[in-house]
Amino acid sequence: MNYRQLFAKMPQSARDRMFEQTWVREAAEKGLMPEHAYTDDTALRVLHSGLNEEEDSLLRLILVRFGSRAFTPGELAEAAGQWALAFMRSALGSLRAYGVIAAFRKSWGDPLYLLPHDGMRAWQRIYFPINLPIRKGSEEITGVKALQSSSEQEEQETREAVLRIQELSDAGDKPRQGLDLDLFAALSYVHLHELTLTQRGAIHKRHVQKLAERLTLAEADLAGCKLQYPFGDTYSPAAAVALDFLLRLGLIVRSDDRIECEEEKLREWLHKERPERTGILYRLWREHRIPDTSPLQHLVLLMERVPAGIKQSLPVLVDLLRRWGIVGSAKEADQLIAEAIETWLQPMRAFGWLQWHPVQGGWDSEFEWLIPIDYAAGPGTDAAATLSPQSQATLFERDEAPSRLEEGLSGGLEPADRSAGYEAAEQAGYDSARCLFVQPDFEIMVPPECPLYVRWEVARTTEWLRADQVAVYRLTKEAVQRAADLGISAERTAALLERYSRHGLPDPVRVTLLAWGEQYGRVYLADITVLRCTDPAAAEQIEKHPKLQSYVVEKLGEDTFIVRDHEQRELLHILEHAGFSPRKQILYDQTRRKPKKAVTAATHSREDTGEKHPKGLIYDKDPVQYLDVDIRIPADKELIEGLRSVPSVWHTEYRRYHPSTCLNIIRQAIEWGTVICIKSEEESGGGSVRTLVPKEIRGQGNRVFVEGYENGRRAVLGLEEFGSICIRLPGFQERHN
Amino acid sequence: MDLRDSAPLIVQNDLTVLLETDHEDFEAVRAELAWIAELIKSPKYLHTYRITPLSLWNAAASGIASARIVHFLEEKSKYGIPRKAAEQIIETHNRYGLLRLISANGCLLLESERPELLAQIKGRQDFRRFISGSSGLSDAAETPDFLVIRPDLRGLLKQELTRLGYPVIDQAGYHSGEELPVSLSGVTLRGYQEQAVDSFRSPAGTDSGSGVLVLPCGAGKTVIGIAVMARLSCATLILTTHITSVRQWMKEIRAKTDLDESRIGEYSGAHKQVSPITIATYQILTHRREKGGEQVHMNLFNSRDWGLIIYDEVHLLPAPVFRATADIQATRRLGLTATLVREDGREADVFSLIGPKLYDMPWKKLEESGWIARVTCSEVAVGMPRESMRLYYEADKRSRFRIAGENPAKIDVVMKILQRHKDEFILIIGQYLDQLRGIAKRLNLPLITGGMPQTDRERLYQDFRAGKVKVLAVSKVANFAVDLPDASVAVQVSGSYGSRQEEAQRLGRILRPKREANRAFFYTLVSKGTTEQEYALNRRVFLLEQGYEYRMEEGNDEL
Repeated sequence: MNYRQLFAKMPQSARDRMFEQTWVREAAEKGLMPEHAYTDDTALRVLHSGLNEEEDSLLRLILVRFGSRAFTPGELAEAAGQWALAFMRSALGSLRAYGVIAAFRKSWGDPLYLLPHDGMRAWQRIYFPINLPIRKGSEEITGVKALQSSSEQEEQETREAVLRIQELSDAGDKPRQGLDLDLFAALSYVHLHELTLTQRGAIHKRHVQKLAERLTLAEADLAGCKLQYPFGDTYSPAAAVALDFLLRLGLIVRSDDRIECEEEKLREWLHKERPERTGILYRLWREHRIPDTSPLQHLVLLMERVPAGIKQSLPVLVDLLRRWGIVGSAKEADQLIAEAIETWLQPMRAFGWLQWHPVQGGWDSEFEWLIPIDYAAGPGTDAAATLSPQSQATLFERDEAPSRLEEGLSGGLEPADRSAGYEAAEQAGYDSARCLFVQPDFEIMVPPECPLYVRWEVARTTEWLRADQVAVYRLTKEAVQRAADLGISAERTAALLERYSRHGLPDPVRVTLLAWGEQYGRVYLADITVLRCTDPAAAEQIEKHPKLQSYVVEKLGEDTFIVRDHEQRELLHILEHAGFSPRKQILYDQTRRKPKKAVTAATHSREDTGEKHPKGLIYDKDPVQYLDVDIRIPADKELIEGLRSVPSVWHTEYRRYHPSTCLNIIRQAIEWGTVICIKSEEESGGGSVRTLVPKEIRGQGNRVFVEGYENGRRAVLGLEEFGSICIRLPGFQERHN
Repeated sequence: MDLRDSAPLIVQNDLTVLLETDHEDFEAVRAELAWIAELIKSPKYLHTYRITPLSLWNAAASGIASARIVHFLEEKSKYGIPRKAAEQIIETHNRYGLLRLISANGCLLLESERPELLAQIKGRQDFRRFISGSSGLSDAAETPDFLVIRPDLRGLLKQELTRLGYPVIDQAGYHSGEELPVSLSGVTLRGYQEQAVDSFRSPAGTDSGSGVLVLPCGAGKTVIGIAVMARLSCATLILTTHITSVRQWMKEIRAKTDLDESRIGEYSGAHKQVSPITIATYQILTHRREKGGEQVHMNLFNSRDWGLIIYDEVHLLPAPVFRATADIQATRRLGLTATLVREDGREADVFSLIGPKLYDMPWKKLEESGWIARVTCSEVAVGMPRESMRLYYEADKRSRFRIAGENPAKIDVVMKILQRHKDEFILIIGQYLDQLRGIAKRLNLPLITGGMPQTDRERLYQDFRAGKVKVLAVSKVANFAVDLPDASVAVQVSGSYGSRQEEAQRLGRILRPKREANRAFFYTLVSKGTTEQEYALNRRVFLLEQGYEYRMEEGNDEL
């Protein structure tokens, strides 16, 4: 979950409270949207500089231990270890009040906490500033023990891991068209085929297989992601990923009985530039598929900090994580590298976003972004949601060009007029798409830089042959006739190809194409409405009736007229007035197919779920997406249960107590999860103070010991060492000062 | 990105290479690419090549290193060369030369710089038969320096190792064969013909022993073969595709060498003459008297001490001839062809048994230099009369094609074409005799069909060559090599479904360079709105891929 989604779940009043904080307002004054302050390094540094010690430490702890994974209070307490829990809870309350940490309430009331992942990205930069890439042996990583194994068993494990990495490298090292074009291929398949659903709601197996054949993404690429989705027996992981992306982008929608393209969104998507599309896809994958362990998440964030086109050693990044305390032992580091490759790098490579390969015999793996990756470019996951007003306007303008072109063409204009259509298109900014090679043998070569909207036109009027650096399609009679069924005439296909082809359309291709068009649809079935008369006399009267003549399109035989369907009501009215007493009920052929159910929005639409974005197919790892945000932040006093039943002097003044009272005070401090401050005898007049986080009382009689943490170290104090004491409570520090 | 400003090549992952012809580096890149890849098709703006193991081994045989190939592709590619593709090129290329056949002390030895490769070969059950029992090597020797090979299995071994992906460099030498002094007479080789001959055997006497010369139709492959024969001056067996071609070879040899008539023999169904220069058909070599019987004429390979065997149209070489060729690896072999691509996919056998590609001349270059005529191809769509159309719709699928082919409206279009080219030599070629008879009768033209005696045919051809007859109607008998140099217009009124080969052969009739404008015209008449149009599409694809352009015309319009 990101901050945008989080704030969308909050009531307005809670959001306003967050946005009224000084640091947010200051950021807003500099032009940031308030919610963007939570992901902006500069704004967050302002907040960071104002955090107290506990808040700062707790935020760092959450960042290191949980990353952007949701955590329970119990997990936090365990991670906090030697901390005084009351202070931890208090700091957590503060971080929640700032809006940095979000709280959710499970159905049975237990809370879950979360640092949204776009916030994690910024906090990693603040707590662990470093410029990437870095090389082995650079100062940043000196002092970190190199990855090495000590025991024989560890060496064996390392050898196995190296072997596994090599296997992964070989398995994924094959030609790809990249996710962008894989999704295009899937979209194009959905567009050209009627993807009806089974009664279970799955796409028919044969369609899934054919769709998967068009993808270069393979099962092995996604094996490490352990994706879970419905119809796992029908959908391959690659097909599931493609469908998931398309559903989440809103490019396809699911109705009760079929899956179809969502034309509006589709048009917008096709007109986006490739870097923009890639950015959206990356963010989508990142938001929904980011690994759920903190070290992996940190590694992913570190990888994002490496500029495109530069090789970076993966173990070097893992070494950094060890130095920062995010990764523990060398063995954990080993595992992290293997896991990162399997769960993150492997699919990224298959998507065509990065390249990685093992070096030096397998262990030291390098990666390199093939395209610039900038998560911060926009938080959106929805194609439409990411469009700014300006970009929407651009799309609208672009959209006009083909419309004008279509107008010119569908109107059956002569060549001279057709070129006028082109001019209009070019004036509207359509002059950079001459990228196709239309070969005289009907093959069409589509280079990678070809805009997606041009590719789309090719895809729906031709047969796809193969994907490669240059994709190959072929014009066939069947494809041209299929396009005609989609409403694209052969003339329009010819004109489009001519328009987008670098060298125009070879004459034999154009002539053949038009001939195919001519041959198709010379006869066709039409759904018409007729007015029938029971006798020729009535027919004759109708034919001659001045008010009825204009409603007749054509006479069929002696007693039947073709009339316009949309004028039925009017016609019946006039017939009635003219005294023909027409039958009100229309005779329909009972065997006629029921009209196709209109496609509304997907079952996963916003209306259905009340959420802002369409859902995908693959189950999300995000456990908080369905939970309610808990906006109530308890006051410090509420954190101290039974405060009123305890003498206030225990937490307001230093005093010496009888050993039994002293023990009671310590017990109370343990129960509250707080701190005991101890002043030594001789310094009770105002000397230094020891603070102990008591955890356990041991022994009995005269030999009683208190175990706990002093300055973060384990300490055991005899009862006699407790001179003047006072319980320290969160929110009451000023009194001690 | 402005593509025209960037590099001209696109290297696909499957090692298909696309070359943009409007790039300023086109000529240079094409010249280099021809050595490392097979040209698949060459339409006007984008040529398609394919890098195959054979093309790489052919390049290796010409001394082109793998690093140079990868560097060239990297440098000239718009999107770079995919890493896997580069690895594949290097790995495949470097296999050439790992194995060599040599002669030493009267033995045939297979040697390698990688003894473990020899050990693997030795260890394979299916390769035991190639290794001589007298090898003198201990069976226990795990990594031998060489293997002694049975000389009679020299060809088969090369064939098998090539199939395995390890082509063999054959340096075991050739025997000279029976001496036969031959000199060229009254012929001057064109520059490219000279280069082609040199690539097989240089004037200094060094030769590559065996290999294939790739030249387009009309480039004078026969003359090149004769010139090679003259360089080697030895008894030569020439194998070609059909009897008309045999006669053509004989005629050319008589006309272009100083050889006595008695030294040239025809070995065919009609004559079985084994002379120092013998020309035979592939068909006679593979002939069996009865089903399953022996191919007795295969003995022709051993019936003389041939110093050279010429395989004409090597892409049509039948499988049994491959087998026989495997047994005569000590004899020099010259392959002549317009394309290395075989319909049966046995290009590797041509490589291993005949030899690597030694020379390649693109047809476009010949056309530009005026060595072949510049042809304009036109497809003329002819509407069908209403009655024919009715018959067409009522007929079954098979009959429809014929009804469309015999469209009576085509005669009017033929007349228009004859009017357009009234002073030229014209061939009207068709599939259906009834149709041809109708045309011949209506236009008062002589007609040549398969049923006509050979002498009558020759007489008509002769009249055509002499200019006494300017328009000739011919059936499919004229598909094959008939030398009618002055024919400059071919009108194809019907054809055999979608046969690309037929289309190319019919075009070949008008390719010979013409005396004046050096232009030729190839018309194909197809009935509009019928399956004939679809078949015509298939037929023209081959020529389109070769770079010929088609004009589309309407027969009902004024042509």
